Amino acid sequence: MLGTEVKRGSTEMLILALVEDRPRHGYEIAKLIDQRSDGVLQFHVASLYPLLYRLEKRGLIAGKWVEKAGERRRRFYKLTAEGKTVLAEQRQTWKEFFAALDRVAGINPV
Amino acid sequence: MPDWKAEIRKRLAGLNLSATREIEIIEEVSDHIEGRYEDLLASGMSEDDASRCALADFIENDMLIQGLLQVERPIRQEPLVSGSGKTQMLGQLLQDLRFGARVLVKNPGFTLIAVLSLVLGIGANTAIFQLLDAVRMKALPVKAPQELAEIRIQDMHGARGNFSTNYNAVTFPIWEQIRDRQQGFSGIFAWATRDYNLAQGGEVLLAKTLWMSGDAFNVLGVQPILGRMFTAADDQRGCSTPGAVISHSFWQREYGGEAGVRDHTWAESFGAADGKGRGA
Repeated sequence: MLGTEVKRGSTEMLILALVEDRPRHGYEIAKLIDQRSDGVLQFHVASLYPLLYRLEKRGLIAGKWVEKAGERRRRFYKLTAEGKTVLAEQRQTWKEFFAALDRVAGINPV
Repeated sequence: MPDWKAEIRKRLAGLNLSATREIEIIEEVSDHIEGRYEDLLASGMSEDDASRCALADFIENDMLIQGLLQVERPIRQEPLVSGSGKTQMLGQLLQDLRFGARVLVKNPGFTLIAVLSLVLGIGANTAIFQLLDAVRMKALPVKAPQELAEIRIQDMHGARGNFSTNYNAVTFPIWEQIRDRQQGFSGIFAWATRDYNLAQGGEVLLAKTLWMSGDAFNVLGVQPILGRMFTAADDQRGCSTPGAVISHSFWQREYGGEAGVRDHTWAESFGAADGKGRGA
């Protein structure tokens, strides 16, 4: 029941969670995923941007070009109200998924 | 430093994106590769290795292109039009019409205002043209309308008659003098207006009529559909055979186009000329 939805939702949730607190640009998102997962999860440019554009098209994130002094013009993405709702749903789904795994296989994420 | 944008542009070409969208993606992806390249350099990698490594993520298996293909909407290519110049021109015209229709559908407010403006403009111009056509442009339905001229009395000093209308009236003897002595025209006739009650009783049925001198229809070159016109022979004082020539529309409207209208008698006699005539 969770299979395909969970796989698709996992990558979406990573991005939605990273832009939850403040807007971030694409490379920053990729680096944070790499750093916070200690290199276990990696997002290459080839898979990151199609996903960002898909989330933006669905209205879950909103992109905006920002030009800061002394920096290149960059596109920052922030979470929309609809994105917050979806993120909360996905978090709940993953909690249930891990809880189920834990009950069955004794996996207890610390 | 490698030209990331050129490499990205080359690979995005097959997606057929709009120019604006393509520039945005190139700028965003090149910024990502640039960031990755700088980080690799900072980690101690050589420029060549850093460049190769940064591009490898982008180039590998064309994943970016495959991913973008599922998300981005390509510009719809209009079908190529082959054939001769005329066929091609027709095809381009159809393309322009389709494009125009799409733009109008996308902007209903503008479309409504544009259509209303056109309707009002065309309607007003049509009404003005019809008025001008009827008043000034349409030729009179006579044999030679361009040869018709109106005769007016220039010196009215000491004249007698009815001068209350735009057309000065002269007495019948003066009309006879003009008719017999004029040399400028091949024919001449006089006319006057009068309203007659055509009803046999009850509600009054007024008809606007013209008295015309006997040669009028001959001068105008007008032939009757039924019966006969007046002739110069009818143009006598105390005419013994008073009658009338009615218009085609009046014949159709009031008498249904019946041939028996020739024997019809109206309540009020048209009588004969009362001795007055008008220059025409």
